[in-house]
Amino acid sequence: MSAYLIIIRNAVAESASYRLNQIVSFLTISLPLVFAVFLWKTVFNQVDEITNFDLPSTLTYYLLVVLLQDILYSGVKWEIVDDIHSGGLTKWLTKPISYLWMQVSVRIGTNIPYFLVAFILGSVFVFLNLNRLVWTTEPIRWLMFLAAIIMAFFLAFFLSFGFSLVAFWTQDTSGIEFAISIFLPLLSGQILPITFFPKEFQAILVYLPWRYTLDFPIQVYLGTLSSVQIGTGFTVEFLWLVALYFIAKTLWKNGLNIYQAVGG
Amino acid sequence: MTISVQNLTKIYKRRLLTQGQYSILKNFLKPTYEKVQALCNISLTIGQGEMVGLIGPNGAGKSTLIKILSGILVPTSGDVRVLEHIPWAHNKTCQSQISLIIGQKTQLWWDLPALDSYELLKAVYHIAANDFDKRLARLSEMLNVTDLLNVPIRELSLGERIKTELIGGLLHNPKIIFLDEPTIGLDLSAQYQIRSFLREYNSLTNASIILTSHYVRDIESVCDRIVVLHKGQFYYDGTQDALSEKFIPYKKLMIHHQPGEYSWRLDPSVVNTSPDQASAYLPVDQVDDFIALVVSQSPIYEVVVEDETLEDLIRRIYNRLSK
Repeated sequence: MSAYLIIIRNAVAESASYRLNQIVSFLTISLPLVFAVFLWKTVFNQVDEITNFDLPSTLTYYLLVVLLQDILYSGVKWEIVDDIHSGGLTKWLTKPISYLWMQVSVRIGTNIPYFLVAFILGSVFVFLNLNRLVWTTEPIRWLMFLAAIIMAFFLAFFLSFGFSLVAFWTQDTSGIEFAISIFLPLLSGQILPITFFPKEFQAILVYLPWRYTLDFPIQVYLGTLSSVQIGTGFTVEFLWLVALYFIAKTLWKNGLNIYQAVGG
Repeated sequence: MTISVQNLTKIYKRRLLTQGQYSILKNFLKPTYEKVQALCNISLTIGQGEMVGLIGPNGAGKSTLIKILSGILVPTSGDVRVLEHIPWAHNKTCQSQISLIIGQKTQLWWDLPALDSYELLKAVYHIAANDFDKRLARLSEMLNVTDLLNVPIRELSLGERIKTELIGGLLHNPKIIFLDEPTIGLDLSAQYQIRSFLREYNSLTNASIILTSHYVRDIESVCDRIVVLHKGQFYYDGTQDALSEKFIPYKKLMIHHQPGEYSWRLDPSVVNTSPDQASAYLPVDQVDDFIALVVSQSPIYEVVVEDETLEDLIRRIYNRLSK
């Protein structure tokens, strides 16, 4: 078995050893979903549609946000910051293995138990709101959704990896973490679908990477985007993916030159 | 040569926080740094199978040297070759033949049994299944941890954990093993087991061992060659025997005498432990004269003369270095 598959397996086993943590964290982040149902039902009692969203597409949007937001998280990862600040990188630097791909594998592995819990609880939500959700049967839309999710995973990872590597240059990343925690939900579409924002704001957001980590894949699934918007979206996402990969590699290389391996 | 170091220098940048009025603002707007020279123009070579002990007071540069040799730190200047590769270039061939074991850091997955981490190492180093099984069986038997391989690391005692770390670091049969304080915090029995293991492992595999430790017994038992570092420079590089020859050997005297006030008890080299007992620590060429003086002044029950231990000698060197 490849080393990276074993890392995924070990990360699953490690993550699953904290089962209660998985369930509690999922319940905590799914609470806004319950509020979203009440809020948007009230809103759509007054209006039929906002931009091209109706009640089923809005509720489906928030369900997918809850299911995907953890695996597509693009903020600072404290595990990487801690590896840099407390010398934990050391154990990986002496081995013939890539730290970047090791971290990708860890992220996949740690998210699998979470995703399973999310899937089970999400299914309950789907069952209770069956007639109020969007279910697509178009294979092409499923394929595009899958492609957008895979690209979003790597895009979010490279963003997250890049921000975390700032720890090479600063002892305290809490300022960056705070800024990200404020802006990320807004820029990624976690709070509202991007198309709910004013046109001028949307025009900027489509060229920033964060929108592609949540809003774009979900809207691809919902079919709320035109073919031109989908084509442009995939192109911009791909360009960001390539750019962020090289930025992450450059930060890593330069960071290692000043790494001090403090505390062992 | 397994390891070759030429004119190696490492300078760190360390942030200074100023005190006083508006210090927070000053530190934020205009951070100040100082340069710390961890290693200063050092050169050495280490051959295959050598067991080298790096010693020196805190801040001497031991860990920095090990971290540069194992590819973790990039030096400021100088040429370093480990198995003919530049270590910080992270060449996979080189990485597959070295191992770094740090006593106070775990390299294994904390919440999982050691076996899960070993499976990963087997894949990382492309160890054949047959070799893996044989090495794991032999190492776990040598270290007496066969029954602990299925226990999560977090549930092991410190001594057990270090042993499982050692196995993890040796499964790929490295040609060079870097050990940074491998016995730190261990009880005497566990320290002894680790030392015996390292000697046995070296004789079986001819691996080079580069060891740093503040426990002189580790160095004394494991290493044939000692390198004393002080403020980033080599103060001594040679065998254990030559070390005590270079620094005039001392003897330890234990004197049991009839109680009384004698002038020799006021000598600076004498420690009076009780009214009828004293010990003295003297250069070997002064021992006979001192005993003659003691015997001439006081009735003696017993005088025991012992050779200086390596620990005493190293303490003496550190004292000299700190002056």
